[in-house]
Amino acid sequence: MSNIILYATRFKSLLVYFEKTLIISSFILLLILTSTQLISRNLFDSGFPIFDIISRHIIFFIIFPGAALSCEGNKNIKLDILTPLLSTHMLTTLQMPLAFISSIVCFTFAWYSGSFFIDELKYAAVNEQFSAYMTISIPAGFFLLGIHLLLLSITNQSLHSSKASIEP
Amino acid sequence: MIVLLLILLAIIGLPLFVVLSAGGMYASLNNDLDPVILIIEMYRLSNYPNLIAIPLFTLAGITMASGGAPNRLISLFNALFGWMPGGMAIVCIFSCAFFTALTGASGVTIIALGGLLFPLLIHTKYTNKFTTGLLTSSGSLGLLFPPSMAILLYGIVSGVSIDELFLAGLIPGLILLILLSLYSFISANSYPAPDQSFSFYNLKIALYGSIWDILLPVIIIFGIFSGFLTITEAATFTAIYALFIETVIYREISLTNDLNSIFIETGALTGSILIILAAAMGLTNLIVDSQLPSTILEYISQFISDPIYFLFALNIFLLIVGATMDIFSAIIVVAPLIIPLARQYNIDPVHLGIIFLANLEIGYLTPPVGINLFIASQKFTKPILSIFKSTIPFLSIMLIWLIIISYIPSLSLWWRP
Repeated sequence: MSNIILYATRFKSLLVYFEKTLIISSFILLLILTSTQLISRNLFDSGFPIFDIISRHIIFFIIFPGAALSCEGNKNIKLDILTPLLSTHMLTTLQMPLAFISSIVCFTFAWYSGSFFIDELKYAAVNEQFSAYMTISIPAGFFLLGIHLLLLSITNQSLHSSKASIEP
Repeated sequence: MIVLLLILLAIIGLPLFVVLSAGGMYASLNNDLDPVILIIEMYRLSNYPNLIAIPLFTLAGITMASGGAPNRLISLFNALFGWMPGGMAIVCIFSCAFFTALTGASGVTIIALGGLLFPLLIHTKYTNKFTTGLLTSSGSLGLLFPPSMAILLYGIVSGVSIDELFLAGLIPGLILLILLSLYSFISANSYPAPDQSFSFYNLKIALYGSIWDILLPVIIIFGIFSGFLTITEAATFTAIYALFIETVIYREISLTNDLNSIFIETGALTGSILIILAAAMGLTNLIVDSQLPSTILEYISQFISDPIYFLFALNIFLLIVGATMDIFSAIIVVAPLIIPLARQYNIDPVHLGIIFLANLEIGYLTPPVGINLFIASQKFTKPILSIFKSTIPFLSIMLIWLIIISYIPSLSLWWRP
């Protein structure tokens, strides 16, 4: 059992590293694309439509890993009405089932968004093929979140205590 | 049964995006709809060009918070107001408002400025109670000023023009700052007079030190309202500008050591907010399609026909929402239900937006979910109840302000001919 937790912890560290790298790369790309658009529109009265499409899809590459990292550091938004009244022990006990339920919901959404992605590819018009490929970000994002939450439920460090240790 | 279970799970700490996703899935299956429609709605986010502005403005705010902006702003406002009776409290109010507008009222203000202002206020002989109350209340003050993330999100969710919301928030936001400054000025009678006098030289030095920070909101406001920049372009410019001044001009942030953690912090903050928006897109559409708002309207109109009473009931309801939900989830979940109701009572959607955000701004200070109370409790190592008691005078002023801006729409719509 302790081996499983050990492997899960190591895998989660790698996942955190991947998520951080994804966020950093997405922000750098977003800044490059949007600033190029800003300069070309205001100085040359032109623009690159493809940059606009990529920028609007990059947001998903920030949202999903960002949400995963916020779960890792317990910074995700919750209603938290009862939690201030619960003991630390109770909160720790609740972490595992809550993370597990969350991962199930994310995997289910990954499944549905996977079929959305396939439909988009199948029925997209020729000029919308690129956007259709970019929708992979939604199933991939939910899968990433699902894996992360599953690992949190196994290691039970949770939504509560741990801070990611590896900096890209 | 499942709805009750989800509510129970939500109040014991299930992440809100999971609650909304599961709720959406249940609602679609219950209505014999394929849950893929939830994903289609979610994908619609990529059609909102202004959505990109949220991570970019947040990046700018976090860059400035991580750099030396808090110190520079406090020096400037201290040179401007520090000589007045109650001046240090006014310094605190203006610094926090300026900073919150840039950082998006996510608690960063109390963390970034609280540690700097607390010893200054105590040194100026303000009581512990006044100081904690002031700092806790100031943590959400700039919520109505551009480029506030709450306004951006409300504009995206409601479909109201973000430019108009930015304009509408200026006067109500300034009135709140003036009311709180007046209270600080009046209560300054019980504190010793400030030991500094006004000096043009000090003001010049402080202005010189913070000129790049001060220029930023001027450029944003001028850029957007002159038509030179769209919201997204203004956000791009702000992010690049903040990175430039902190890395090249002030050299407070190292490109190699600090930049990655700034991107990661921004990603985690925007991810935690926008994942709720993504999850709620489908659910709110299902709720609207199920005619729930019109059912509520029919019920309410049995008791309330006058817009004045509607506004009163709306404020009570939104104060409860603000006390139980965090601002971003409240905007995403509650705004789509309120907007059609308010339309029936002829409440202008821009005015409604300001009322909505003003209530949620007050919600930052009200238990059980007032985030400023929790952050201040951690930051100043005091029990939440004691922090809450210290905010009561400020909270009362904010409630008076809420009544004023609710019943005088011209304060929000001053820019309309």
